[in-house]
Amino acid sequence: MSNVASDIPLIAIVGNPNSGKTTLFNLLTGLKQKVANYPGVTVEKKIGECYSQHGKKLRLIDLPGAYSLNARSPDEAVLRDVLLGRRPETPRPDRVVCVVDSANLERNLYLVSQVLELGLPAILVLNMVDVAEKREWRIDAAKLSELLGIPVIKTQAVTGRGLIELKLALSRDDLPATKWRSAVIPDGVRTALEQSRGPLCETGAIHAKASLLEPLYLLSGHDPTHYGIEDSQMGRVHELRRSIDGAFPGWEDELVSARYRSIEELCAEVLRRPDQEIETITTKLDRIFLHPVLGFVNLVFVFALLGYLIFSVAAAPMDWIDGWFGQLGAWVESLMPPGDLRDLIVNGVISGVGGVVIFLPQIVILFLFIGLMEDTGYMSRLAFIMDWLMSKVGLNGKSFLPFLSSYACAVPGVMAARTIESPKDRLVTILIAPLASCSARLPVYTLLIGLLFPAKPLTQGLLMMGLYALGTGAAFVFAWIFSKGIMKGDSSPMILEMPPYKRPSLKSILLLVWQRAKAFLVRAGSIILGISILIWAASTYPKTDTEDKSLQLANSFAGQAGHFIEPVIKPLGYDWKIGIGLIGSFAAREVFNTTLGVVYAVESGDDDNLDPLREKLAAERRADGRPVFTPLVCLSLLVFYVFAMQCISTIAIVRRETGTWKWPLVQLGYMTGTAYVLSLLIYQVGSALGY
Amino acid sequence: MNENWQSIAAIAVVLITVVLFAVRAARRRKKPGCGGSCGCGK
Repeated sequence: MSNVASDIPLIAIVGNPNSGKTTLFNLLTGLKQKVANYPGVTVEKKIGECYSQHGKKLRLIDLPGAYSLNARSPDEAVLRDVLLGRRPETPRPDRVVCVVDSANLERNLYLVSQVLELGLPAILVLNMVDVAEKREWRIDAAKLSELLGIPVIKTQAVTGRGLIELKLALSRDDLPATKWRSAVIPDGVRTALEQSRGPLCETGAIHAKASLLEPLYLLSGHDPTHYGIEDSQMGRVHELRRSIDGAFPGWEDELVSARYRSIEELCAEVLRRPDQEIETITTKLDRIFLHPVLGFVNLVFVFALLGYLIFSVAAAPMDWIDGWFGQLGAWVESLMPPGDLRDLIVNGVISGVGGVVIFLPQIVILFLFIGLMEDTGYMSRLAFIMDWLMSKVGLNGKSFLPFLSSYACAVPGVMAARTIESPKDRLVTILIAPLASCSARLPVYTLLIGLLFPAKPLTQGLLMMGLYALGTGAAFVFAWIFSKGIMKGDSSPMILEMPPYKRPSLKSILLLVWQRAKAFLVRAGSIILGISILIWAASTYPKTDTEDKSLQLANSFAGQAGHFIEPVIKPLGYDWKIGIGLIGSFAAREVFNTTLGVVYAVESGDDDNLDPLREKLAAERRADGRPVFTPLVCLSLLVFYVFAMQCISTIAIVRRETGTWKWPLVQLGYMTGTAYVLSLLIYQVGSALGY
Repeated sequence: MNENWQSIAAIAVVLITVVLFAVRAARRRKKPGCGGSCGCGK
C-alpha cells in the first residue's frame, strides 16, 4: 500500500475525541490500513485506502482527535500542522471529512468551524445520529448544509448507516470549501494580524499564501512545538504577540467567545431539542456505573471476570498451540539426524518461540476486553471512578488512562501521559505506569500460577486478579510518595468527557485485536526468535567433552552467568537456572518463559524436551531432592515480576519522554529494589514459618 | 561429518543473529522508542 501516491486524493478525517472518527475510518478502510508514528512525536498516524461509490481509489488519514486547533497537546499540534501542510512527511490533505457527535453538536462544531476556515473542501458527517434521535433532537441536515455551503451527511458508523451517501460525497471532485465564517476578528486585532504576516513571511515562519488564521495560531501562544519553524524565528513571533497583547488585552478570549456565539446562532437555526432532556440509557446506566459504591463493585467484578476468562476460555486454544509446536518439534526430529542444528531448531527456536506464542489466546482475550470497554464508553467511567482514588494520592483521573493503557503495554501508557497538563502529574504517572501488570507479564504469571494451583481455574483467576491488584495498589502508594513527599509542583483537576454508551463496533474491536495480536506474533517471530537462538547458544557454548547435560549447562556461558548472580538471588529462593531466566528477562519480561523453555529442554535431553514447560518445572529438583519450584519460590517470583523493571523498550521511552537518564534510572532503581526486598521478605518469612 | 556440518550451520545461525541484533541496536540508537515491536501495536 502506497502512502505517497500523489495522484490519489488524500482525505483527512477530523473530529473531537469520542466522535466515532476512528470507527468511521475503520468502516471505510477495513484491513487496508497501516499504523505508524508521526516523526519526532509519539502520536499515532493511521493511513488507509478505500474506494468511493464510483470506484475511485482514495487515501484516508485518520488524524488525532482534538477539541480545537489552538493546540494544547502534541496530538492537537499534529492535527493542526497536517491541516496547515507544515509536516513534510504528510502532504496537506485535498479534502477534509469533519466528523461530529450529533448528540454534542454545539461543542463539536467549534473544531469544525476552525477547520472549515482553513479553506479546504469539506464534508460534514453528523455521526451517532441515533443517540441524538433517542434524545429527540432534530437536526436539519439540509439547512445546515445550506448555511455552511458544504455536504452534510447523517451517519451511524457502528451500523454503517449513511455510508453510501458518504462514499457518494467522497466521489465528488467539485467539493466546495465553506463560505461560512464563525469568528469575527475584532478590527484592531485583524489589522495587527495582517501587519504581522509580512514579518512572519520574511522570517520563513509562514508561507506567502498562508491564511490570516495561521499567524493567529502562532501568535495565540498555543503553538509550543512550532513544528517546522526555527527557534530563531520564534523571537519575532513573541515580539509580535507582546505588541498585540499590549494593544488588545483579552483578545484571545474575545475570539473564543465570538466563535461560540456564531455556533450558538447556527445551532438555533438547525437544531430542535425538547424542552426537557429525555432520559437516555446512558443516564440510567450511569446511575449504576458512576455510583460511588456500585461503580466500584462493578469495577472489581469486571476485572475478576477478565481474570477468569483469561484462564478458562483461553485454556483450550493454548493446549492446541502447545500441541502444534510439540508436533512440529517431533516432525523436525524425525526429519533430521541428531546434531547441533537440529538441537538449535527443536530446543532453541521451536521451544523458545512456542513458549511465547502459546499465550496468544490470552493476549487476544485481554485486548478484546479493552476494546469492548473503550468502544462501549465504559473506559471513561472507569477513569471517572478512579479519579476519586487518584486524587487521594495526589493525581487525577487523567493519570488513570495512561495507567490503564499500561496494562496492555507500558510504552503507549507512558506516551499517553502526554495528555496530562501538569508536568508534576505527568512525571509521577510516567514513573508509576510500568507497575501496571502489562501483557508481557501475563505469560510469566500464567506459567507460575499454573505451577502453584494446577487445574483450578477459579483460584488461578483470583490469584491473577490479586497480582493485578498488587501492582495497582503499589502504583498508588508510590504515586503518593512521589507526589506528596518528593516532587514539588501543582496538580491539575481532571476535565473528562463522558461519551454516551453505545453498541460496540465489532469491526473496530476485531481490528484492534488483530493489530495487537499481529504485533505480538511479529515480536515472537523476530525479537523472541533471536533471543531464543542466543539463549540456546549461551546454554550450549562453550562445549565440553562431558556427556552429562547438567554439567554442560553449568559450564556454558548462561550457566556461568547464572552462577555469577546466584549469591545475590539465593536468599530469594532462586537457583542459578532461574537466574538465567532473570537475566534474559531484563530485555523483556516474557523472555523468562523462553529462557526456561530453552534451559530445561537443553538439560533434559532429546526425548522429552517438548513436554509442557510447567511439567518440567514442577519435576525439577535441587541437589538434595527438594523441588525447586515450591509454592514459596513461585510466590516470590510472582512478586518479583509484579515489581521489577524489566523492559528495555519502556526504559528507552521514559528516557525520551523525560529528556534525561535520571528518571529511567530512578524508575529502574525503585522498582527493582522493591521487587528484591519484597521477594526476599516473602521467601525468608515463609521459610521461617515452615512453608 | 553430519555432526560437523550441523555444528557449523548452528554457529552460522547464531552469528547472523548477533549481527542482526547489533544492526538493530545501532538503528534504534538513532531513533529511540518502541519502534513497533514492543507488542503495544503502535
